[in-house]
Formats: sequence, C-alpha cells, structure tokens
Amino acid sequence: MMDSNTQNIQNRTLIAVSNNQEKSSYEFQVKNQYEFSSKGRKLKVEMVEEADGIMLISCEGVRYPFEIVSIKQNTYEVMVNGVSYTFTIETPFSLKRRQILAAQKPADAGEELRAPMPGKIVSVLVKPGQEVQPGTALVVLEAMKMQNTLSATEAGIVGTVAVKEGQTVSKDDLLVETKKPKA
Amino acid sequence: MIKSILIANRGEIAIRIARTAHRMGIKTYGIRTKKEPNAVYLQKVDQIVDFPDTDGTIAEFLDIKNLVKVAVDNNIESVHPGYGYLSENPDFAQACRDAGVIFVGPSPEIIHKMGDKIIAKEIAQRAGVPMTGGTLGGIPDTKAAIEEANRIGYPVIIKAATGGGGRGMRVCTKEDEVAPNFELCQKEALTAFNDPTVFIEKYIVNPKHIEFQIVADKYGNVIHLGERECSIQRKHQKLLEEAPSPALDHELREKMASAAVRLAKEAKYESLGTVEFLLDNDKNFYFMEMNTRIQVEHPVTEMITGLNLVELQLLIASGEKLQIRQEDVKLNGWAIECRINAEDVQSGFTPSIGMIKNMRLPSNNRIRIDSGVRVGTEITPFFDSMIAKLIVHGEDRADAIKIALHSLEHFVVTGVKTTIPFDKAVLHNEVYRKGDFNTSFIETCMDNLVWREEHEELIAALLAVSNYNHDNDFSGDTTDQAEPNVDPWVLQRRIRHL
Amino acid sequence: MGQAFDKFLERQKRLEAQYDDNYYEKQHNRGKLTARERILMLFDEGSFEELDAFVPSAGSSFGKTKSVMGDGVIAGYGTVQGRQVFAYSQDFNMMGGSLGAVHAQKIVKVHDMALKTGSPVVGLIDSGGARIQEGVSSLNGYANIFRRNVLASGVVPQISAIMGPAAGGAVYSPAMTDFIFMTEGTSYMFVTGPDVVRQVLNEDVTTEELGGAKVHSTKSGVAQFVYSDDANLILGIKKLLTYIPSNNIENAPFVPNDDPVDRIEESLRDIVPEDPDKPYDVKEVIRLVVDKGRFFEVAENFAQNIVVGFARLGGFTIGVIANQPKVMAGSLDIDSSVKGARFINFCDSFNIPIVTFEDVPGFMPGSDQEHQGIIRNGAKLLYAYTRATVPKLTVILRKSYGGAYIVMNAKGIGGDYSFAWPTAEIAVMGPDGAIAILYKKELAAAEDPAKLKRELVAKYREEVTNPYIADEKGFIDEVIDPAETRNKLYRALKSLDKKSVSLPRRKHGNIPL
Repeated sequence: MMDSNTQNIQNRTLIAVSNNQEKSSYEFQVKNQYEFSSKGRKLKVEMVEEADGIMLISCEGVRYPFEIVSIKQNTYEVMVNGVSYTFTIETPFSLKRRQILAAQKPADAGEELRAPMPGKIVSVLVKPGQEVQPGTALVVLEAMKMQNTLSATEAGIVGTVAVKEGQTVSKDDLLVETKKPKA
Repeated sequence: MIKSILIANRGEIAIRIARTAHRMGIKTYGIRTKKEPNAVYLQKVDQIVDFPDTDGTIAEFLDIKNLVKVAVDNNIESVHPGYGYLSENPDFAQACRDAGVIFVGPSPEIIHKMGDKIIAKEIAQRAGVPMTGGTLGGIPDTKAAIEEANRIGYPVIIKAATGGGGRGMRVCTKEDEVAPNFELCQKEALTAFNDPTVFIEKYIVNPKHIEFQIVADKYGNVIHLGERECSIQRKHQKLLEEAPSPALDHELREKMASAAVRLAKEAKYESLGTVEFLLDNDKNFYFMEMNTRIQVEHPVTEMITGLNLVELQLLIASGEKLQIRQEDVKLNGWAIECRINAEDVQSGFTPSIGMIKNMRLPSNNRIRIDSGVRVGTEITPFFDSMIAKLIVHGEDRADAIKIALHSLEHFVVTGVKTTIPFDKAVLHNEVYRKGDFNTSFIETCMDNLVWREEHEELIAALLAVSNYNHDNDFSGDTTDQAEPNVDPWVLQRRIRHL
Repeated sequence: MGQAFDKFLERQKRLEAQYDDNYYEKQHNRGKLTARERILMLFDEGSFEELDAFVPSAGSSFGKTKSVMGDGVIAGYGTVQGRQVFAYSQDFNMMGGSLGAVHAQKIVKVHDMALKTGSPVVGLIDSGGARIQEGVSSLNGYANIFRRNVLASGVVPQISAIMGPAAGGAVYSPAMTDFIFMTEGTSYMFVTGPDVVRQVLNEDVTTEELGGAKVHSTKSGVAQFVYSDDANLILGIKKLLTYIPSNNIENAPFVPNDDPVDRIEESLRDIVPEDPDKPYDVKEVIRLVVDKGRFFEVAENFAQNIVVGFARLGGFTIGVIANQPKVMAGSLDIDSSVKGARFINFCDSFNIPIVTFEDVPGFMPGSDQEHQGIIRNGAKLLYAYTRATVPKLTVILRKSYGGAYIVMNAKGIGGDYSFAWPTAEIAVMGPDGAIAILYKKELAAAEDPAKLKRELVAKYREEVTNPYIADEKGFIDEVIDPAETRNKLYRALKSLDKKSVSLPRRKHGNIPL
C-alpha cells in the first residue's frame, strides 16, 4: 500500500528526470550511495578527487571529469566532460504527483524578470527567441555602483526584451519576459 | 631594433606578444587596469605601468590619449596594439606617430584605406582581384539602392562601409526587402561606426571563409604564408580554424595567394596583414576585406610555417628588411586551432560568467596553448570570453584532428561552462572530417552542438542520484551517543538566566 | 482474558479498516501522501506511538454529523534520528481535516507533552479549517493551540509543514512556530481566500497566486522552506532537526565528521574581487569554510540580499548570517533585516552560536524604504544581534560601512570575536560619500573636480578604509589570511564553549515590531 515510502534511503527507487527537451529519464534501484541497478544491470559508481582538485566519476569502465554546478532541493545541475545536465530526482510517487498537478494546472505563463532595484542596464545578454535554462544570465544591472547579473530561474524562451543597454530602470520595471517552451 | 614596447592589450595576446618581444631583447611594458589588477598577463611583462586615473567613460584599451601618454611618460619606444581594441584604428596609429612612438602595424594611411571598404574595393579592382558584383561607391538613397540591387541580382547584401565583425550587414533576397534594410543599415552604421555610408554587393550564399596571411616590409617586399580556413563560425565569430584549408588544391592556392600579394602591393602595404576571401561552391573566390592586424588565429600559420609572426611584425616595425623570400616558405603538416571560450553552448552560446575554479591543461609536444587566465580568474561580461586557444600540429589533417580530440579530452575547466564540448562535436562531425564545409556548417550540419561520450547522460543521472542520496542521508548524523552534553557550569548558568 | 482480548482486537481492526485502500487512493490522486504515510515517514522505523487514536468526534447539533476515530488528526511521538519528537498530522481524508474540539485537544496534548519533556513539535497541516458544525467549540480549539504555540516558543523548537490548505485563523498556528515548510503546487496559506477577495475587492486571483508556496517563499517571507513534494519535504524536516537542539537547555547535536578543522582553503584568497564594485557569491565563502561544504539554507528565496542558514564547524552546529553582494550589492533593506533578526532570535533561543560574514555597503537608501519603516525594521536586526547571548563571531570580508558596520555584529554591541580579511574596508561611509562631504569646498573650487575626487578617493581608500586601523584600535581582533578562516573560527568557537552572559532581569524586552 505504502508504495511511496521513502523512509529508507537504501533500497528505494529513484528516477532522474532530465530537463532537456526529450525529458529523458533514468530509473535506478538504490542499494547504497555507490551501488545502483538500472533495468536489471548493476552499476557501481566511484568518485575521486585528483591531486589538482579535479573530480572524476568512474562507472561502466570509463572515467569522466565532473562538477556539481548547483543544487536546488531535488534539482541537480551537473557537468560531465564539460557538458551540463540538469536532473530532478523523483520517487515513483512524486513523479505521479507531478503528472496529476500538471493535468490540473493551466499552462504556465512563463516568467517575468523585473528590476529588483533601480539602476542602469549595463548589458543585455539575450535576444528574443533565444532558449534559456535556469541560471542563464539575462541582463547585467548596475545598481549601487555594483554590477548585478540577473538570471533566468526557469527554462524557457525569451519573449520580450524590454530594455536596452545604457537604459535606466526603476524598481520592478519589466526587463525580460520568458515563455515556457511548448511541450 | 626597437628597444622597448608597450603592449596596449590584455589577455592571451598580451602574453603572446610579451613572450616574443622579451626573447628578442625588447623590454616589455604591460598596463595594469583597475578592472583586473591581478591579471595573468601582468606577470609576463618586464615592467608594469598603471593606467592613469580616469573617469572611466572610455575603456582603458580604447583610450588613445592616455595610452599614448603612458608610452611617452615612460619613454617607451613602441606600442603593440594586439588585436581588437585599437589595433585597426588609424587615429591611434596617427597619435603614436605624432608623439614619436613606433606603432607596430601599418601606417595610419593604410589602416584608413583598408578599413574603408569602399576604398579597399577600389584598390582590389586596380589589383585585378576578383570581387562580388556591386557598387564601388556608397549608395546615396533608397531609390539608388533598389536600382543597384536589381542590377546585381538577388540575393544582395547591404554593408556599412566602415563596419566589421558581422555588424552593420543585412541580406536582401527580394526587391521589397531592400528599402527597409537599406534604412536600417544606414542607421546601424551611423550609431555603431559613426558613418552612415553603406554599399551593396552580391551576396554569396553559404561561402567558405578563407584568408591569406601576408607579410610586407617597408621596402616593397611582399610574401604570403599560405591560407587559413575559418569557415567554422557562428554569427561571424570564428570558433575553430585550421591551416591549410582542405578546400584548396595547389592551383587554387597559388591563384588566391597571388591575388592577395597583388592587393598588398597595390596598397603599398607594410607589416602583417590578412586578406579575407569568400569561396563559393564552384571554387570562385571573391575579395572580402583586408585586416591590418595580427589575427586571433595566427598560431595555425605559425605551426605550419615554423615562423613567428609577432617576431616578423616587430622586425618590420623596426625598419628591418624581410629576410625570407616566398620560395623559403614551406607549408608543413596540418594545424588546427580550437577556441575555448567561457560560453554556455547549450543555452545559445551565452557568456558563462563566474570564477575559474580549476583548470587542467593537456600537455603534449604537438600542441600549443595560448591562454590569459588562471585558476581564480573571474570571467566577466566586460571582456571577451576567451579562456584559451588550443593549437595542434599533425602530419596531416586526420592526424591533427586526432591530436586535437585527444587534447580536448584532457582539457578540464570547472567553475564556468566552456566551448570544449562544442569543439569536440565539430571534430567528430563527419562533414567536418570530410573537409567539405562552409560558413553554414553549424546551422546545417550539426545536429548536436555538444559532444557526448557514450553513457555520459546515464553517468550524469547517476551522479545526480548519488549526490541526492548523499545529501539526504543523514542517518549517521545523530545517534544516541551524539546527544549533547552540556557542561555543568554552563548548564547551571543557563538555567539561572531563564 | 479471551473475551476482553477479542474486544481489544476487534477495536484495533475497526481502526485499521478506517485506513482502507480507498483512504490511500483518494489522497494519492490529489498528488499528496496521506496523513498516516507522512507521520510514519517522519519517524524512525517502528518508533511511532500514536495517542488518542480511537477518540470519537464531539457531537454537534447542526448539519451532518459523522464520527471518525481520531477526529481527523493523527498525533503521537517517536524518534527522529534517535531523538524524541512529538508530532501531529492532520488528515484531509477525515472530514477534510477540519478542526473540531477533540481534534484540537489532541494537538494541545502533543504540545503539553513536548513542553514537559523538552522535545520538538512538528505539525503536518492539511486542513479545511474550523469545523463549522462545531461552532465556537472549534474556535476555542484554535485559541488553545495558539496559546500552546506561544508557551512553547523559545522553549522547544516548533516546525510546521503546510501540506494542503491552511486558511483563515488556522494560519496563525504555523505563523507562531519557528519554521514553515510548504509543498509546491499542493499547499496554500491565506487569511482570506480567493472567493472573498473577489467579492470584496473585485480582484481576480488564484489560490496559488494568493497564497501558494512560491508566493510565501519569495514575496511574503512566510514560508522558509519549499519542497517539490511531500516526501522531500519530510526529508527536509528531518534534516533541519539534525541541526537543532531538542530544547532551550541542551546544545545542538554534535556530529563529528572527517573534514579537518585546520583545512587551509586557498581559493578563499581569490574569492573577493579586488574591484570593490564587483559582486561575488557569498554562499561560496560559506561552503568553503563549513564542514564538508554543507550549508542548509533557511529562506533561500526571500530577501536574498541576506543569506541565513545552518551548518557545522568541527561537528558543532552554527547559525550563519551573511550579506550577499550578488543581490542588491548586499545592502540591508526591510525584508533582509527582518529575515536576519528572526534567524538570530531562533539561534539565540536554542544555544546555537552565530557566525556572521559581512560585506555590506549600508542600508538601502530611498523614500520607498524610509516610508515603509527601514528605521524600525532595521532596528529589529540591531536589537536581535545585541540581545543574543550565544557566541557571536564575525568575519568582515569586504565592505563594512556606517550603521551597517554596527548592526552586523560589531564588537561594541557584544560581538565576541571580529576577524577581517585583508580586503576589508571599514569606515563611517564609503569613499565617494566621505570625500563629497569632507572636501566639498575644495571640490567646488577645483579646476578638474572629477580628477581631484578620484585622487582623494584613492587616498581615502589607502589611509582610512583598510582593516589595519580598526585592528590597531582593537575593534577587530585580527586581520586573517582568508585561507585560514575555518580554523580561526573553529578556535574562537571552542574558546567560547563556556560563554555565559547575564542580562538584567526583566519580564521581556520590548523589541521594536
């Protein structure tokens, strides 16, 4: 009955769902932090830090350099061989929950980036139509003599760019609008 | 010979210039700016000079007055502008001349002539260099623009006379597009280059971009050092270059090279220069423009000729006569340059801002790495995003590709995203490997902009899952034994204070 | 025994029958876990003891009456990572989790037991609100709970998790607890719902826009933690519990680890840009200093110009407060002052030492902030720092100007140790402002005022704003090599192990609200 039990870190099923367009997902049975199985295949992972501080992951007989770029709760952005991957880690239940919620909710309108404080736009780093990922720098705002890089928090496609370089903006002025990519 | 030199640039090119100048016994001066007072290039010069205090409205390396002042105040005999910034600014060359400082590059007159595309085209015509059909002079008004476009035949391109770097250019495929584009282009030209003059020429669809390296001394001796293949570009930004070009055979190379040399002679050119050509599918080539500076991609030419271009540039600036004749120039093997930029390829090549946390460079006697950053360097949106150039030399093209790939696999940068996976994707691409590609390569031939190794996504997923597990496994974090013991002295007072 | 035992078993069976397949399915189809799953997930396996499982609902004289065992809430105690915790979990499947008199009594009992035993209380909230049928008895139930929340405040940690609706008066119980967790998409909190808002104000707003997790974690600052689903939220609560003590007498759990306290972190030397106008991410500094880079941030999406959260140093829990130069240059405004003050109050209540990383250009100027009361709100941060008697350490990373220098834990307000990095700039005001005031006449008379100003600014930076003056006056204990920050902080912390401060006796101070 309690298929959603996550009481034990060990021996549970976790699903890594990519935020790429294909939304590819990988399901793993977790034995412990280093041993997993996927589709009946056993996978052993090892992570080592080399003397120069570069981290390497070895699995399936290959060794690749990696970096953990950011962790936002259960969303992990990692780089393997310099390629960035973003995965949200789900349990079978949380995945189902996501589908239920998605079915209930109308399509999200996207995101509006507004000036967090008055200042001057130093540079605009994106153009309408450009695809952005969470963390993609959108504009640089100079305020209180400091350069603030403002970034997207959600993946999307840039709609309106409401400001130009050199323009002065007030607090809460619209800077960039992004739209959700069509599923 | 020049005795001292001010390097009016930053980053890897400042280091590149300092290295050669130092070896030639020239005292090198580097400029320290407030924006990056600890930059790596400052460690490679003999002496550091502080840029004068200014209100900051003009960026340091664009500030003609103060750069010349630094040279004069410190009694520095010459100035090397590097590439970008003031390297092709005739006013800077003139200001140096007026102050009695040697400008390492052509004379202000030549920079001016070649910088004005209309004058440059006149010179090319006199030298009998093929050009795409079009006007020789500027276009006065919209009506004339439409007439001219109809005469040439579509598609046409409208260009700013003094433009460059892909800005101030617009393509028209039919008549009704000419008027709006003409007006836009004029406006852009005026705001970007302070000169509204535009002209029209035939637009070559998906050409190859091939450039010839020219070396000319002050005594009329002109030689070429072969070509560079620069067709791998995105929005007119070159990303990966090679020499020689797989598109040229001996006959075509000779034809293009002699056109480039004729052009340089006609222009009475001196110093290093690059003649850029477009090559269409039928192997017709057309003069595009001439660059009067050292190019970012110059190392590929150095690799296959064994010559040091900065050294030649400094010798010419010192008034020396060219010691090499054309027949001494031998092209040996194949060289490829991969630009490694701090860019997020997966998000449309946007700048990847942040600090370089770690960097591991490949090492190998067939490669050269030109870089101006170190661990701890901050990548900001205010300077170009180049981290390094990896240049490899192989016996032939296949060998060079192999070495480049092998080196890229051992090139690790953390802290920012880089174009390394993109470079790998190009080098693995079948069309690229065959050698038959043009400037539309990235849009038309690359299904994947980044190269992924086998199982890479699976391993990334495992990495995320494993870390998630680790982050949420605090089972060992509290045990009964870890139950806190409060020191009796503290406990007593804690209770008393309640 | 036979018959008596049979009766006992029969009763057990009836309770189990209440939790049939349909019970689980209904809630799962809403994308939520059931109250029962949640509470079992919170506690160590097999450790949960339920209280009052069989109590029936109070009768009512109006409308439909339906009695369920337990009256729509599961309450009890157990261990979380081996430590005793009391908890209740409202059951949306039983009369919409509505709060009746019996339901309220169970929650009150849990609080009373937690207070008696010095154990944390966790409330898992998923309730339609007051049970209308029970009328004023239900309201009285809320009043009793609120009173327990206040009594327990600062004595045992109280954690609320909003895992469904929480509307009307019901929001005030979580509001008075120490931390609020919410789930994305399936939880909301508001005093007045969208329907009434539409009727009264003619304003069209969805539940999510009015009081969803996103709004409360970014705009209102009501919720400190947001998780994508129930399971992750409960993991989050468990994680938080590992950082905090069970009550105001004990210390937080000591969790030894293999990260050496004398670890030299050379990259810290490069992290602060030379250019005082350039931002950097202070969270990088925190991660490089604390044990294993683990920083458990509190309210990470709200007032991001200040960063607060828990970490460990040599196995001891610390509360970290840091200005964030990446956001609004790290300047202090109303929201960040309140966020910082509330966090300090929690740490001080529960014996958690405070480590401050300072890089603050000052308070946010402007009529917007002044009119909304930056004075009384900024005073909260100052009051909280000054009142706190736990060990208080500061590292000045870069800017420390004016009033903000004092507020951010200056030694004068009771900071125990102040360290400064060589990049520190400490002065009454930043160079531009200072020169404009000190050399007003000279600048007005100068031939090239901009040039003179630049020279004076450089001189001011050189002679006034460096950390060595404060060091020589004793306002800074030591200017340190950034690479050694971890070890310096650890040793300072150890030296304060037995710190004890007496405050004047009083009922309670009058913090500006």
